[in-house]
Amino acid sequence: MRLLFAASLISVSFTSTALADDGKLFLSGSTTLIPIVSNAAEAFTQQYQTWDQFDATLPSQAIVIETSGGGSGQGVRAVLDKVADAGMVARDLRPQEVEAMGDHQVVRVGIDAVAIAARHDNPLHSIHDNLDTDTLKSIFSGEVSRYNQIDNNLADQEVVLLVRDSSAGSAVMLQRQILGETPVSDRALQMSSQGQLLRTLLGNPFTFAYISAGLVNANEELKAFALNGVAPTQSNVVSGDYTLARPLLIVYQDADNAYLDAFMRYLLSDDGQKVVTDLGYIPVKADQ
Amino acid sequence: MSTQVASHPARRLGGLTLDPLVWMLTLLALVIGVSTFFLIVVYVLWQAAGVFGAVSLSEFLLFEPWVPLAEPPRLGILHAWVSTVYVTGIALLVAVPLGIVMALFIAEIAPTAVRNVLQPCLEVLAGIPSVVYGFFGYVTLVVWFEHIFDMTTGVSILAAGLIVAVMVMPFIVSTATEALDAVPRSFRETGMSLGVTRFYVIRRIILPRALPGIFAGIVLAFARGIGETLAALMLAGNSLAVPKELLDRGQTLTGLIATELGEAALGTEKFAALFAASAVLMLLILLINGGILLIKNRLLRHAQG
Repeated sequence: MRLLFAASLISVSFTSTALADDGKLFLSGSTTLIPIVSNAAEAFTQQYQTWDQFDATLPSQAIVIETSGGGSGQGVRAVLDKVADAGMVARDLRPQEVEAMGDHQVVRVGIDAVAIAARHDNPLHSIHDNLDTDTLKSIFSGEVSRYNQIDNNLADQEVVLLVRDSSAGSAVMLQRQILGETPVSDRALQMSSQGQLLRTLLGNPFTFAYISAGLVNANEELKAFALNGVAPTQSNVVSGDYTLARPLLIVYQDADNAYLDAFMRYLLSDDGQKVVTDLGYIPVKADQ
Repeated sequence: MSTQVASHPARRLGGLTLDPLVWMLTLLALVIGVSTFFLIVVYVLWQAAGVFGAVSLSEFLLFEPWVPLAEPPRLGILHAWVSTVYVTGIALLVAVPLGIVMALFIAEIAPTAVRNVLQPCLEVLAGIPSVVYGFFGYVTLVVWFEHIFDMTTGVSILAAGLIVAVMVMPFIVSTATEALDAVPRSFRETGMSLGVTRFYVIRRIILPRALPGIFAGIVLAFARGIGETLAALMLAGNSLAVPKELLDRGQTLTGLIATELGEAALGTEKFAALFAASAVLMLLILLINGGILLIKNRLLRHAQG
Protein backbone atom coordinates (compact mmCIF):
# COMPACT_ATOMS: atom_id res chain seq x y z
CA MET A 1 0.00 0.00 0.00
CA ARG A 2 2.74 2.42 0.96
CA LEU A 3 4.62 1.38 -2.14
CA LEU A 4 1.62 2.19 -4.30
CA PHE A 5 1.29 5.56 -2.64
CA ALA A 6 4.97 6.34 -3.24
CA ALA A 7 4.66 5.25 -6.86
CA SER A 8 1.71 7.55 -7.45
CA LEU A 9 3.61 10.44 -5.83
CA ILE A 10 6.50 9.88 -8.20
CA SER A 11 4.28 9.81 -11.25
CA VAL A 12 2.46 12.96 -10.16
CA SER A 13 5.67 14.90 -9.58
CA PHE A 14 7.07 13.53 -12.82
CA THR A 15 4.22 14.76 -15.02
CA SER A 16 3.94 18.10 -13.26
CA THR A 17 7.64 18.97 -13.47
CA ALA A 18 7.97 18.25 -17.16
CA LEU A 19 7.80 21.51 -19.06
CA ALA A 20 5.25 23.08 -16.73
CA ASP A 21 5.29 26.79 -15.99
CA ASP A 22 5.43 26.37 -12.22
CA GLY A 23 9.06 27.13 -11.41
CA LYS A 24 10.15 23.51 -11.58
CA LEU A 25 12.94 22.12 -13.73
CA PHE A 26 13.58 18.48 -14.46
CA LEU A 27 16.90 17.30 -15.93
CA SER A 28 17.59 13.74 -16.96
CA GLY A 29 20.57 11.81 -18.35
CA SER A 30 24.22 11.17 -17.54
CA THR A 31 25.01 10.04 -14.00
CA THR A 32 28.35 11.87 -14.30
CA LEU A 33 26.49 15.18 -14.49
CA ILE A 34 24.01 14.49 -11.70
CA PRO A 35 26.35 15.56 -8.86
CA ILE A 36 27.18 18.79 -10.72
CA VAL A 37 23.57 19.69 -11.43
CA SER A 38 22.18 18.61 -8.07
CA ASN A 39 24.96 20.30 -6.05
CA ALA A 40 24.57 23.47 -8.11
CA ALA A 41 20.79 23.28 -7.75
CA GLU A 42 21.09 22.94 -4.00
CA ALA A 43 23.40 25.95 -3.71
CA PHE A 44 21.20 27.91 -6.12
CA THR A 45 18.00 27.10 -4.23
CA GLN A 46 19.54 27.97 -0.86
CA GLN A 47 20.90 31.26 -2.11
CA TYR A 48 17.81 32.49 -3.97
CA GLN A 49 14.77 30.38 -2.95
CA THR A 50 12.47 31.98 -5.53
CA TRP A 51 13.25 32.68 -9.19
CA ASP A 52 12.61 36.44 -8.98
CA GLN A 53 15.40 36.82 -6.44
CA PHE A 54 17.89 35.58 -9.03
CA ASP A 55 16.36 37.53 -11.91
CA ALA A 56 13.68 40.17 -11.22
CA THR A 57 11.99 39.54 -14.59
CA LEU A 58 11.04 35.99 -13.50
CA PRO A 59 7.90 35.10 -11.51
CA SER A 60 8.22 34.63 -7.75
CA GLN A 61 7.82 30.86 -7.97
CA ALA A 62 9.82 28.64 -5.60
CA ILE A 63 12.91 27.13 -7.23
CA VAL A 64 12.60 23.36 -7.60
CA ILE A 65 15.22 21.52 -9.68
CA GLU A 66 15.12 17.74 -9.94
CA THR A 67 17.40 15.24 -11.67
CA SER A 68 17.27 11.63 -12.71
CA GLY A 69 19.90 9.29 -14.15
CA GLY A 70 19.86 6.80 -16.97
CA GLY A 71 22.87 7.73 -19.09
CA SER A 72 23.72 10.27 -21.78
CA GLY A 73 21.63 8.61 -24.50
CA GLN A 74 18.63 8.56 -22.19
CA GLY A 75 19.15 12.32 -21.58
CA VAL A 76 18.77 13.08 -25.29
CA ARG A 77 15.76 10.75 -25.55
CA ALA A 78 14.09 12.47 -22.58
CA VAL A 79 14.39 15.82 -24.36
CA LEU A 80 13.04 14.38 -27.62
CA ASP A 81 10.13 12.72 -25.79
CA LYS A 82 9.52 15.96 -23.89
CA VAL A 83 9.56 14.22 -20.50
CA ALA A 84 12.44 16.39 -19.25
CA ASP A 85 13.19 20.09 -19.60
CA ALA A 86 16.81 19.34 -20.42
CA GLY A 87 19.11 16.40 -20.96
CA MET A 88 22.51 15.87 -19.33
CA VAL A 89 25.04 14.43 -21.78
CA ALA A 90 28.65 13.56 -20.85
CA ARG A 91 30.01 13.22 -24.39
CA ASP A 92 29.83 14.95 -27.77
CA LEU A 93 26.39 14.69 -29.37
CA ARG A 94 26.19 12.08 -32.11
CA PRO A 95 25.25 13.34 -35.61
CA GLN A 96 21.93 11.45 -35.56
CA GLU A 97 21.08 13.02 -32.17
CA VAL A 98 21.82 16.51 -33.50
CA GLU A 99 19.62 15.77 -36.50
CA ALA A 100 16.77 14.35 -34.41
CA MET A 101 16.70 17.34 -32.08
CA GLY A 102 16.60 19.91 -34.86
CA ASP A 103 16.61 23.39 -33.37
CA HIS A 104 18.27 22.97 -29.97
CA GLN A 105 20.58 24.56 -27.43
CA VAL A 106 23.81 23.05 -26.10
CA VAL A 107 25.48 24.46 -22.97
CA ARG A 108 28.91 23.20 -22.03
CA VAL A 109 29.05 23.47 -18.23
CA GLY A 110 32.35 21.72 -17.64
CA ILE A 111 34.88 19.25 -19.01
CA ASP A 112 35.80 15.85 -17.65
CA ALA A 113 39.49 15.60 -18.48
CA VAL A 114 41.48 12.51 -17.61
CA ALA A 115 45.12 12.98 -16.63
CA ILE A 116 47.82 10.32 -16.56
CA ALA A 117 49.37 10.86 -13.16
CA ALA A 118 51.58 9.51 -10.40
CA ARG A 119 53.17 10.76 -7.21
CA HIS A 120 56.08 13.19 -7.50
CA ASP A 121 58.49 10.49 -6.34
CA ASN A 122 57.31 7.97 -8.96
CA PRO A 123 60.41 6.70 -10.86
CA LEU A 124 58.96 7.65 -14.23
CA HIS A 125 58.77 11.34 -13.30
CA SER A 126 62.58 11.42 -13.02
CA ILE A 127 63.05 10.78 -16.75
CA HIS A 128 59.79 11.77 -18.47
CA ASP A 129 57.28 14.55 -18.13
CA ASN A 130 55.65 13.58 -21.41
CA LEU A 131 54.28 10.25 -22.61
CA ASP A 132 53.10 9.43 -26.10
CA THR A 133 50.13 7.23 -26.97
CA ASP A 134 52.31 4.20 -27.82
CA THR A 135 54.24 4.29 -24.52
CA LEU A 136 50.99 4.66 -22.59
CA LYS A 137 49.46 1.80 -24.51
CA SER A 138 52.39 -0.50 -23.70
CA ILE A 139 52.14 0.44 -20.00
CA PHE A 140 48.36 0.14 -19.59
CA SER A 141 48.16 -3.07 -21.63
CA GLY A 142 50.78 -4.65 -19.34
CA GLU A 143 53.26 -5.16 -22.20
CA VAL A 144 55.85 -3.46 -19.99
CA SER A 145 55.15 -4.14 -16.35
CA ARG A 146 58.29 -3.01 -14.50
CA TYR A 147 59.94 0.40 -14.35
CA ASN A 148 63.31 -0.94 -15.49
CA GLN A 149 61.63 -2.28 -18.63
CA ILE A 150 60.60 1.27 -19.54
CA ASP A 151 64.13 2.54 -18.89
CA ASN A 152 67.21 0.58 -17.75
CA ASN A 153 68.15 3.17 -15.16
CA LEU A 154 64.87 2.95 -13.29
CA ALA A 155 64.16 0.82 -10.23
CA ASP A 156 63.31 -2.87 -10.61
CA GLN A 157 59.79 -2.37 -9.28
CA GLU A 158 56.39 -3.30 -10.64
CA VAL A 159 54.36 -0.57 -12.36
CA VAL A 160 51.23 -0.91 -10.21
CA LEU A 161 48.41 0.16 -12.51
CA LEU A 162 45.30 1.67 -10.96
CA VAL A 163 42.27 1.67 -13.24
CA ARG A 164 38.56 2.30 -12.89
CA ASP A 165 36.09 -0.53 -13.42
CA SER A 166 34.76 -0.86 -16.95
CA SER A 167 31.60 1.15 -16.29
CA ALA A 168 33.45 4.41 -15.55
CA GLY A 169 33.50 7.12 -18.22
CA SER A 170 37.26 7.54 -17.84
CA ALA A 171 37.81 3.79 -18.45
CA VAL A 172 35.82 3.99 -21.66
CA MET A 173 37.78 7.08 -22.76
CA LEU A 174 41.16 5.43 -22.13
CA GLN A 175 40.02 2.28 -23.93
CA ARG A 176 38.85 4.16 -27.03
CA GLN A 177 41.58 6.77 -27.29
CA ILE A 178 44.70 5.02 -26.03
CA LEU A 179 44.25 1.25 -26.03
CA GLY A 180 41.93 0.68 -28.97
CA GLU A 181 41.40 -3.07 -29.32
CA THR A 182 43.95 -4.07 -26.66
CA PRO A 183 42.49 -4.85 -23.23
CA VAL A 184 43.79 -3.24 -20.03
CA SER A 185 46.41 -5.36 -18.22
CA ASP A 186 44.72 -8.02 -16.12
CA ARG A 187 47.12 -7.25 -13.26
CA ALA A 188 45.77 -3.72 -12.86
CA LEU A 189 44.01 -2.93 -9.59
CA GLN A 190 40.41 -1.98 -10.32
CA MET A 191 39.08 0.86 -8.20
CA SER A 192 35.37 1.37 -7.75
CA SER A 193 35.49 5.16 -7.29
CA GLN A 194 37.67 8.20 -8.00
CA GLY A 195 38.09 8.69 -4.25
CA GLN A 196 39.42 5.18 -3.70
CA LEU A 197 41.73 5.58 -6.70
CA LEU A 198 43.08 8.89 -5.37
CA ARG A 199 43.77 7.43 -1.91
CA THR A 200 45.58 4.41 -3.35
CA LEU A 201 47.57 6.57 -5.76
CA LEU A 202 48.70 8.82 -2.89
CA GLY A 203 49.63 5.80 -0.77
CA ASN A 204 52.26 4.21 -3.00
CA PRO A 205 55.01 5.82 -5.11
CA PHE A 206 55.01 2.97 -7.65
CA THR A 207 51.33 3.31 -8.59
CA PHE A 208 50.46 4.77 -11.98
CA ALA A 209 46.96 5.78 -12.96
CA TYR A 210 44.50 7.79 -14.99
CA ILE A 211 42.36 10.09 -12.90
CA SER A 212 40.26 13.26 -13.22
CA ALA A 213 42.60 16.10 -14.16
CA GLY A 214 40.89 18.38 -11.63
CA LEU A 215 41.91 16.05 -8.79
CA VAL A 216 45.54 16.01 -9.93
CA ASN A 217 45.70 19.78 -10.28
CA ALA A 218 44.23 20.20 -6.79
CA ASN A 219 46.68 17.79 -5.21
CA GLU A 220 50.27 18.89 -4.67
CA GLU A 221 51.61 15.38 -4.07
CA LEU A 222 50.56 14.31 -7.56
CA LYS A 223 51.98 15.28 -10.91
CA ALA A 224 50.40 14.70 -14.30
CA PHE A 225 52.26 13.58 -17.40
CA ALA A 226 51.77 15.49 -20.62
CA LEU A 227 50.09 13.42 -23.32
CA ASN A 228 51.76 13.66 -26.75
CA GLY A 229 53.36 16.92 -25.68
CA VAL A 230 50.22 18.56 -24.27
CA ALA A 231 49.87 18.95 -20.50
CA PRO A 232 46.36 18.63 -19.00
CA THR A 233 46.26 22.23 -17.83
CA GLN A 234 43.08 24.23 -17.54
CA SER A 235 43.72 26.19 -20.73
CA ASN A 236 44.81 23.16 -22.80
CA VAL A 237 41.69 21.27 -21.77
CA VAL A 238 39.31 24.16 -22.47
CA SER A 239 40.95 24.89 -25.85
CA GLY A 240 40.60 21.22 -26.81
CA ASP A 241 44.34 20.70 -27.35
CA TYR A 242 44.38 18.09 -24.59
CA THR A 243 42.37 15.28 -26.14
CA LEU A 244 41.77 12.80 -23.31
CA ALA A 245 38.63 14.66 -22.28
CA ARG A 246 34.90 14.75 -22.79
CA PRO A 247 32.50 17.68 -22.57
CA LEU A 248 29.77 17.85 -19.92
CA LEU A 249 26.75 19.18 -21.75
CA ILE A 250 23.22 20.26 -21.01
CA VAL A 251 20.97 20.11 -24.06
CA TYR A 252 17.43 21.36 -24.53
CA GLN A 253 15.00 22.28 -27.27
CA ASP A 254 12.81 24.89 -25.60
CA ALA A 255 14.84 28.09 -25.98
CA ASP A 256 11.98 30.12 -24.41
CA ASN A 257 12.14 28.36 -21.04
CA ALA A 258 13.20 31.32 -18.90
CA TYR A 259 13.80 29.20 -15.79
CA LEU A 260 16.17 26.94 -17.68
CA ASP A 261 17.92 29.95 -19.14
CA ALA A 262 18.38 31.40 -15.65
CA PHE A 263 19.76 28.13 -14.25
CA MET A 264 22.21 27.87 -17.17
CA ARG A 265 23.42 31.41 -16.42
CA TYR A 266 23.94 30.33 -12.80
CA LEU A 267 25.87 27.19 -13.85
CA LEU A 268 28.21 29.32 -15.95
CA SER A 269 28.63 31.96 -13.21
CA ASP A 270 31.57 31.87 -10.77
CA ASP A 271 29.38 30.14 -8.16
CA GLY A 272 28.21 27.49 -10.61
CA GLN A 273 31.69 26.87 -12.00
CA LYS A 274 33.01 26.45 -8.45
CA VAL A 275 30.70 23.44 -8.07
CA VAL A 276 32.24 21.97 -11.24
CA THR A 277 35.78 22.57 -9.93
CA ASP A 278 34.99 21.16 -6.47
CA LEU A 279 33.89 17.88 -8.04
CA GLY A 280 37.23 17.48 -9.82
CA TYR A 281 36.10 18.59 -13.27
CA ILE A 282 37.53 21.37 -15.40
CA PRO A 283 35.44 24.57 -15.51
CA VAL A 284 34.80 25.99 -18.99
CA LYS A 285 35.89 29.53 -18.22
CA ALA A 286 39.66 29.79 -18.79
CA ASP A 287 40.14 32.36 -16.01
CA GLN A 288 38.80 30.05 -13.28
CA MET B 1 2.15 -24.52 27.91
CA SER B 2 1.69 -28.25 27.46
CA THR B 3 -0.36 -28.50 30.64
CA GLN B 4 -2.62 -25.73 29.37
CA VAL B 5 -3.20 -27.51 26.12
CA ALA B 6 -3.82 -30.71 28.03
CA SER B 7 -6.42 -29.06 30.26
CA HIS B 8 -8.19 -27.51 27.25
CA PRO B 9 -8.00 -30.24 24.65
CA ALA B 10 -10.40 -28.47 22.30
CA ARG B 11 -9.71 -24.71 22.49
CA ARG B 12 -12.08 -22.92 20.26
CA LEU B 13 -11.97 -19.57 18.53
CA GLY B 14 -15.33 -18.50 17.14
CA GLY B 15 -16.44 -22.05 16.68
CA LEU B 16 -13.19 -23.15 15.04
CA THR B 17 -10.64 -25.43 16.61
CA LEU B 18 -7.28 -23.73 16.76
CA ASP B 19 -5.32 -26.72 15.53
CA PRO B 20 -6.09 -26.44 11.80
CA LEU B 21 -5.37 -22.70 11.96
CA VAL B 22 -1.94 -23.27 13.50
CA TRP B 23 -1.33 -26.01 10.98
CA MET B 24 -2.18 -23.67 8.12
CA LEU B 25 -0.08 -20.80 9.47
CA THR B 26 3.00 -22.97 9.91
CA LEU B 27 2.48 -24.41 6.45
CA LEU B 28 2.17 -20.89 5.05
CA ALA B 29 5.43 -19.87 6.73
CA LEU B 30 7.12 -22.94 5.29
CA VAL B 31 5.77 -22.25 1.81
CA ILE B 32 6.90 -18.61 1.92
CA GLY B 33 10.38 -19.59 3.10
CA VAL B 34 10.91 -22.40 0.64
CA SER B 35 9.33 -20.62 -2.32
CA THR B 36 11.58 -17.58 -1.73
CA PHE B 37 14.57 -19.87 -2.08
CA PHE B 38 13.24 -21.44 -5.27
CA LEU B 39 12.21 -18.06 -6.64
CA ILE B 40 15.75 -16.74 -6.20
CA VAL B 41 17.29 -19.82 -7.82
CA VAL B 42 14.87 -19.74 -10.75
CA TYR B 43 15.23 -15.98 -11.22
CA VAL B 44 19.04 -16.12 -11.19
CA LEU B 45 19.09 -19.01 -13.68
CA TRP B 46 16.53 -17.27 -15.88
CA GLN B 47 18.55 -14.01 -15.97
CA ALA B 48 21.80 -15.94 -16.43
CA ALA B 49 20.53 -17.80 -19.49
CA GLY B 50 20.96 -14.64 -21.61
CA VAL B 51 24.74 -14.92 -21.50
CA PHE B 52 24.78 -18.05 -23.64
CA GLY B 53 23.77 -16.04 -26.67
CA ALA B 54 27.23 -14.46 -26.44
CA VAL B 55 29.52 -17.22 -25.14
CA SER B 56 29.36 -20.98 -24.71
CA LEU B 57 29.49 -22.55 -21.26
CA SER B 58 33.10 -23.68 -21.65
CA GLU B 59 34.19 -20.24 -22.90
CA PHE B 60 32.37 -18.60 -20.01
CA LEU B 61 33.91 -20.85 -17.38
CA LEU B 62 37.34 -21.62 -18.79
CA PHE B 63 38.61 -19.83 -21.84
CA GLU B 64 37.47 -16.22 -22.20
CA PRO B 65 38.96 -13.30 -20.25
CA TRP B 66 36.69 -10.66 -18.68
CA VAL B 67 36.88 -7.64 -21.02
CA PRO B 68 33.43 -6.02 -21.09
CA LEU B 69 34.76 -2.97 -22.96
CA ALA B 70 35.91 -5.02 -25.99
CA GLU B 71 33.78 -5.00 -29.14
CA PRO B 72 31.98 -7.38 -28.84
CA PRO B 73 32.34 -7.76 -25.05
CA ARG B 74 34.38 -10.77 -23.91
CA LEU B 75 32.75 -12.39 -20.92
CA GLY B 76 34.64 -15.12 -19.08
CA ILE B 77 34.85 -15.68 -15.34
CA LEU B 78 37.76 -18.12 -15.00
CA HIS B 79 39.74 -15.58 -12.96
CA ALA B 80 36.80 -15.02 -10.61
CA TRP B 81 35.90 -18.56 -9.68
CA VAL B 82 39.56 -19.54 -9.34
CA SER B 83 40.06 -16.55 -7.01
CA THR B 84 37.00 -17.52 -4.98
CA VAL B 85 38.24 -21.10 -4.59
CA TYR B 86 41.70 -19.82 -3.58
CA VAL B 87 40.49 -17.27 -1.04
CA THR B 88 37.91 -19.58 0.55
CA GLY B 89 40.38 -22.49 0.48
CA ILE B 90 43.12 -20.51 2.25
CA ALA B 91 40.58 -19.20 4.77
CA LEU B 92 39.32 -22.69 5.67
CA LEU B 93 42.79 -24.27 5.72
CA VAL B 94 43.85 -21.71 8.30
CA ALA B 95 40.62 -21.29 10.24
CA VAL B 96 39.48 -24.91 10.62
CA PRO B 97 42.51 -26.37 12.47
CA LEU B 98 43.04 -23.19 14.50
CA GLY B 99 39.33 -22.93 15.28
CA ILE B 100 39.06 -26.53 16.49
CA VAL B 101 42.14 -26.19 18.68
CA MET B 102 40.75 -22.95 20.14
CA ALA B 103 37.41 -24.64 20.81
CA LEU B 104 39.20 -27.53 22.56
CA PHE B 105 41.06 -25.08 24.75
CA ILE B 106 37.89 -23.19 25.66
CA ALA B 107 35.72 -26.25 26.24
CA GLU B 108 38.19 -28.70 27.78
CA ILE B 109 41.21 -26.96 29.18
CA ALA B 110 40.57 -23.33 30.08
CA PRO B 111 39.43 -22.51 33.63
CA THR B 112 35.95 -21.00 33.82
CA ALA B 113 37.28 -17.49 34.42
CA VAL B 114 39.37 -17.56 31.23
CA ARG B 115 36.50 -19.07 29.31
CA ASN B 116 34.16 -16.31 30.45
CA VAL B 117 36.50 -13.76 28.89
CA LEU B 118 37.38 -15.67 25.71
CA GLN B 119 33.89 -16.58 24.59
CA PRO B 120 32.39 -13.05 24.52
CA CYS B 121 35.54 -11.86 22.74
CA LEU B 122 34.99 -14.38 19.96
CA GLU B 123 31.33 -13.47 19.70
CA VAL B 124 32.25 -9.81 19.25
CA LEU B 125 34.77 -10.86 16.59
CA ALA B 126 31.91 -12.47 14.65
CA GLY B 127 29.93 -9.23 14.73
CA ILE B 128 32.57 -6.87 13.33
CA PRO B 129 31.48 -5.55 9.90
CA SER B 130 33.52 -6.85 6.98
CA VAL B 131 34.54 -3.37 5.85
CA VAL B 132 36.38 -2.99 9.18
CA TYR B 133 38.20 -6.28 8.60
CA GLY B 134 39.00 -5.19 5.07
CA PHE B 135 40.37 -1.85 6.19
CA PHE B 136 42.30 -3.45 9.05
CA GLY B 137 43.87 -5.91 6.62
CA TYR B 138 44.66 -3.10 4.22
CA VAL B 139 46.64 -1.06 6.74
CA THR B 140 48.37 -3.99 8.49
CA LEU B 141 48.65 -7.19 6.48
CA VAL B 142 49.11 -5.50 3.11
CA VAL B 143 51.88 -3.29 4.49
CA TRP B 144 53.62 -6.24 6.16
CA PHE B 145 53.47 -8.20 2.92
CA GLU B 146 55.18 -5.32 1.14
CA HIS B 147 58.05 -5.51 3.65
CA ILE B 148 58.28 -9.27 4.14
CA PHE B 149 57.87 -10.41 0.54
CA ASP B 150 59.39 -7.27 -1.01
CA MET B 151 56.23 -6.65 -3.04
CA THR B 152 55.48 -3.33 -4.73
CA THR B 153 51.92 -3.64 -3.46
CA GLY B 154 50.88 -6.20 -0.87
CA VAL B 155 47.30 -6.77 -2.00
CA SER B 156 47.04 -10.45 -2.89
CA ILE B 157 44.97 -13.61 -2.73
CA LEU B 158 46.90 -14.63 0.39
CA ALA B 159 46.12 -11.36 2.19
CA ALA B 160 42.43 -11.75 1.38
CA GLY B 161 42.43 -15.43 2.42
CA LEU B 162 44.08 -14.71 5.78
CA ILE B 163 41.66 -11.92 6.69
CA VAL B 164 38.67 -14.05 5.65
CA ALA B 165 40.15 -16.81 7.86
CA VAL B 166 40.01 -14.47 10.85
CA MET B 167 36.44 -13.54 9.90
CA VAL B 168 35.14 -17.12 9.74
CA MET B 169 37.10 -18.45 12.75
CA PRO B 170 34.52 -17.35 15.38
CA PHE B 171 31.83 -19.40 13.62
CA ILE B 172 33.95 -22.54 13.86
CA VAL B 173 35.04 -21.89 17.44
CA SER B 174 31.59 -21.16 18.87
CA THR B 175 29.87 -24.06 17.08
CA ALA B 176 32.67 -26.47 17.97
CA THR B 177 32.69 -25.30 21.61
CA GLU B 178 28.97 -25.99 21.85
CA ALA B 179 29.44 -29.42 20.29
CA LEU B 180 32.23 -30.26 22.75
CA ASP B 181 30.12 -29.04 25.67
CA ALA B 182 27.31 -31.31 24.57
CA VAL B 183 29.43 -34.43 25.13
CA PRO B 184 28.20 -35.82 28.49
CA ARG B 185 30.47 -35.19 31.46
CA SER B 186 30.36 -38.87 32.42
CA PHE B 187 32.32 -39.76 29.27
CA ARG B 188 35.28 -37.70 30.41
CA GLU B 189 35.07 -39.01 33.95
CA THR B 190 34.90 -42.60 32.80
CA GLY B 191 37.88 -42.08 30.51
CA MET B 192 39.94 -40.38 33.20
CA SER B 193 39.07 -43.06 35.74
CA LEU B 194 40.56 -45.64 33.40
CA GLY B 195 43.87 -43.88 33.79
CA VAL B 196 44.39 -42.53 30.25
CA THR B 197 45.75 -39.04 29.59
CA ARG B 198 43.59 -35.99 29.02
CA PHE B 199 44.89 -35.86 25.44
CA TYR B 200 43.72 -39.44 24.89
CA VAL B 201 40.26 -38.63 26.25
CA ILE B 202 39.98 -35.63 23.94
CA ARG B 203 41.30 -37.46 20.90
CA ARG B 204 39.52 -40.79 21.22
CA ILE B 205 36.34 -40.03 23.18
CA ILE B 206 35.31 -36.40 22.96
CA LEU B 207 36.34 -35.32 19.44
CA PRO B 208 34.58 -38.19 17.62
CA ARG B 209 31.40 -37.48 19.61
CA ALA B 210 31.54 -33.75 18.81
CA LEU B 211 32.36 -34.27 15.14
CA PRO B 212 28.88 -33.63 13.67
CA GLY B 213 28.68 -30.29 15.49
CA ILE B 214 32.18 -29.32 14.38
CA PHE B 215 31.27 -30.06 10.77
CA ALA B 216 28.19 -27.86 11.09
CA GLY B 217 30.58 -25.07 12.13
CA ILE B 218 32.81 -25.70 9.12
CA VAL B 219 29.83 -25.54 6.76
CA LEU B 220 28.75 -22.27 8.37
CA ALA B 221 32.26 -20.83 8.09
CA PHE B 222 32.53 -21.91 4.48
CA ALA B 223 29.24 -20.21 3.59
CA ARG B 224 30.37 -17.04 5.35
CA GLY B 225 33.76 -17.11 3.65
CA ILE B 226 32.64 -17.79 0.09
CA GLY B 227 30.02 -15.06 0.29
CA GLU B 228 32.42 -12.52 1.78
CA THR B 229 32.56 -9.57 -0.59
CA LEU B 230 33.98 -6.38 0.77
CA ALA B 231 37.10 -7.59 2.56
CA ALA B 232 38.02 -9.85 -0.36
CA LEU B 233 37.42 -6.97 -2.75
CA MET B 234 39.68 -4.61 -0.81
CA LEU B 235 42.51 -7.10 -0.25
CA ALA B 236 42.66 -9.37 -3.30
CA GLY B 237 43.48 -6.46 -5.61
CA ASN B 238 40.26 -6.61 -7.64
CA SER B 239 42.41 -7.54 -10.67
CA LEU B 240 41.23 -9.54 -13.65
CA ALA B 241 44.24 -11.89 -13.67
CA VAL B 242 43.81 -15.60 -13.03
CA PRO B 243 45.77 -16.18 -9.79
CA LYS B 244 48.37 -18.96 -9.92
CA GLU B 245 50.45 -18.35 -6.80
CA LEU B 246 49.39 -17.22 -3.34
CA LEU B 247 50.86 -13.75 -3.79
CA ASP B 248 49.13 -13.15 -7.13
CA ARG B 249 46.23 -10.76 -7.37
CA GLY B 250 42.68 -11.73 -8.26
CA GLN B 251 39.01 -10.89 -8.00
CA THR B 252 36.45 -13.15 -6.33
CA LEU B 253 33.05 -13.90 -7.86
CA THR B 254 31.41 -11.70 -5.25
CA GLY B 255 33.94 -8.96 -5.98
CA LEU B 256 33.25 -9.19 -9.71
CA ILE B 257 29.51 -8.89 -9.19
CA ALA B 258 29.83 -6.01 -6.73
CA THR B 259 32.25 -4.11 -8.99
CA GLU B 260 30.34 -4.48 -12.23
CA LEU B 261 26.64 -4.77 -11.41
CA GLY B 262 26.12 -1.13 -10.41
CA GLU B 263 26.41 0.19 -13.95
CA ALA B 264 25.52 -2.90 -16.00
CA ALA B 265 22.56 -1.98 -18.18
CA LEU B 266 19.46 -4.13 -17.84
CA GLY B 267 19.10 -6.76 -20.55
CA THR B 268 22.70 -6.61 -21.78
CA GLU B 269 24.97 -9.64 -22.06
CA LYS B 270 27.19 -8.23 -19.30
CA PHE B 271 24.17 -8.10 -16.99
CA ALA B 272 23.35 -11.73 -17.84
CA ALA B 273 27.00 -12.71 -17.32
CA LEU B 274 26.92 -11.29 -13.79
CA PHE B 275 23.83 -13.35 -13.02
CA ALA B 276 25.58 -16.37 -14.50
CA ALA B 277 28.49 -15.63 -12.13
CA SER B 278 25.95 -15.71 -9.26
CA ALA B 279 24.69 -19.05 -10.54
CA VAL B 280 28.25 -20.39 -10.56
CA LEU B 281 28.69 -19.15 -6.99
CA MET B 282 25.54 -20.97 -5.90
CA LEU B 283 26.68 -24.12 -7.67
CA LEU B 284 30.10 -23.92 -5.99
CA ILE B 285 28.42 -23.61 -2.59
CA LEU B 286 26.18 -26.59 -3.35
CA LEU B 287 29.09 -28.73 -4.54
CA ILE B 288 31.44 -27.91 -1.69
CA ASN B 289 28.73 -28.16 0.98
CA GLY B 290 27.84 -31.55 -0.47
CA GLY B 291 31.49 -32.54 -0.33
CA ILE B 292 31.82 -31.49 3.30
CA LEU B 293 28.68 -33.48 4.23
CA LEU B 294 30.06 -36.53 2.43
CA ILE B 295 33.33 -36.34 4.38
CA LYS B 296 31.34 -35.90 7.58
CA ASN B 297 29.30 -39.05 6.93
CA ARG B 298 32.44 -41.03 6.11
CA LEU B 299 34.17 -39.87 9.28
CA LEU B 300 31.09 -40.58 11.39
CA ARG B 301 30.80 -44.11 10.11
CA HIS B 302 34.51 -44.55 10.73
CA ALA B 303 34.24 -43.12 14.25
CA GLN B 304 31.29 -45.26 15.20
CA GLY B 305 32.35 -48.45 13.49
